[in-house]
Amino acid sequence: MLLAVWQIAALQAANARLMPAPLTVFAVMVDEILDGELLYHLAVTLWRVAASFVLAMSIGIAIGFVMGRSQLIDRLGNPWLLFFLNLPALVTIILAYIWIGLIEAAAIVAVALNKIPNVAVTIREGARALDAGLTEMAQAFRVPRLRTLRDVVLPQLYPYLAAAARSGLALIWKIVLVVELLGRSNGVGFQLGVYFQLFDVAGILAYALAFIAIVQLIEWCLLQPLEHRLSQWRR
Amino acid sequence: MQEAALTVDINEKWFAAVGDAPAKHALGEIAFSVAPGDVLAVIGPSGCGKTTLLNLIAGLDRSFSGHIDLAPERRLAYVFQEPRLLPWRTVEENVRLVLGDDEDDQDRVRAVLAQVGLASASRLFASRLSLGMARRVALARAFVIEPGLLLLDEPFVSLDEQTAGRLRQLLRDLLAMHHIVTILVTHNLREAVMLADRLIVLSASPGRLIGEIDVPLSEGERHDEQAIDAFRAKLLAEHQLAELYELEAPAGLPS
Repeated sequence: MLLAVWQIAALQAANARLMPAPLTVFAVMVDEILDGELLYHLAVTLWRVAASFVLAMSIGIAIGFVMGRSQLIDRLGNPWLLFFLNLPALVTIILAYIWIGLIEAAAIVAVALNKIPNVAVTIREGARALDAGLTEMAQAFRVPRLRTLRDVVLPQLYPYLAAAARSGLALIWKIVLVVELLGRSNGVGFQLGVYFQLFDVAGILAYALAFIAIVQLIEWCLLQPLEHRLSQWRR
Repeated sequence: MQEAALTVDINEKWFAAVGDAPAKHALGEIAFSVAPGDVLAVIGPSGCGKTTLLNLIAGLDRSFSGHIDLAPERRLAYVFQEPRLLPWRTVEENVRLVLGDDEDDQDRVRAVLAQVGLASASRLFASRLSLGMARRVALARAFVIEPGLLLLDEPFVSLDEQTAGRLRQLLRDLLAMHHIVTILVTHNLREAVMLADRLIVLSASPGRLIGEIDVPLSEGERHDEQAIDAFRAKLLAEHQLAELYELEAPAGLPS
């Protein structure tokens, strides 16, 4: 369906360079794959996505959980959370490059900083909604802390973790591209910048589509099966 | 005189003010001790702090003035008013949750599930159980650790009378088999008479101890509905319990 609309638009367009047909884009994609360029840049970007994702999730979960369980920390931390939630991604990125330098660590930190507040807000909701009755039950039976966390608390957070992970992945890979455009010399974002300067729409679309395909694949092969398994008991 | 398994000596318990709600005086003076093997029933008007008393004994709430001494080797099991199962775990996994790593053996879990009549349901998710089944899982979870002290908070409330009667019978059998020190909170005087050796009577809120009554019924009489009713009538007449129990429904216990 999307493909058909695209094909018709391409036929109508006066300049084939600005609106290439699907087949043209596909040919570019195959070319780039064959000479290894596309896979290299994809891998670099994926690595950055993974690193920022892990960093943002672990810090965001910790902050969100503590804020959800302690009213005092919630009151103290809330203004900071709001500040970072409303800070434009571009500002974080530029400041990270200026303060940390044009290095890999700056890129990862900048992306993670953009995502941490969202994760924290989602997990905070989950931590607030924990069932006090179940916690009391575990306490009365003297269930060890670690097991309580694993078997009683964590399963109640799964829906919130899944929501944070899903929206996290979508947001993070978009910000990673901006970070690469602004201050890295490889990755999909950098390549998009190169093709932008060349006004090569086919190249831009080839990279964008390849990346969307990968993200979709992660969703199908990783997130959805995991969610299915964890929500079995609801059916 | 045997050493007490549990000594309760509470001066008072207050709940702190929260927001617009003023501080609440929940419990007054309550002192009693429990000998090994005793089954106690705590009775009193609704809202008098019976559940609060259980929570203090369970150590879930430590902010009160007074002492509660539980012999340290006694493990504690608590059957709450709601079953409080993990819905994302199976029946079997819910029971295993409370076992230590060294005692987690399948035969033990199977045996206790068989005792409560759930042998064939062990792989069902707890989210799919009826209330009656869920309450039986809660009983199994309590008995599996072979507790030294069993707390039961209205364990059969909001069940139909027939199911409640069956579960009462089951609890009686389990208690007779295991000889566990038990404290049962109930608003049902028949249930208390049927199960307990002794009644602890609390006043209206803030609950304080206003009487301890022995229940000298034989094992056979506890099976006999008429004997239970006769004893209950005697209690109501002799101990001015009538006004506490005015509102209790006159329904009998179907056998």
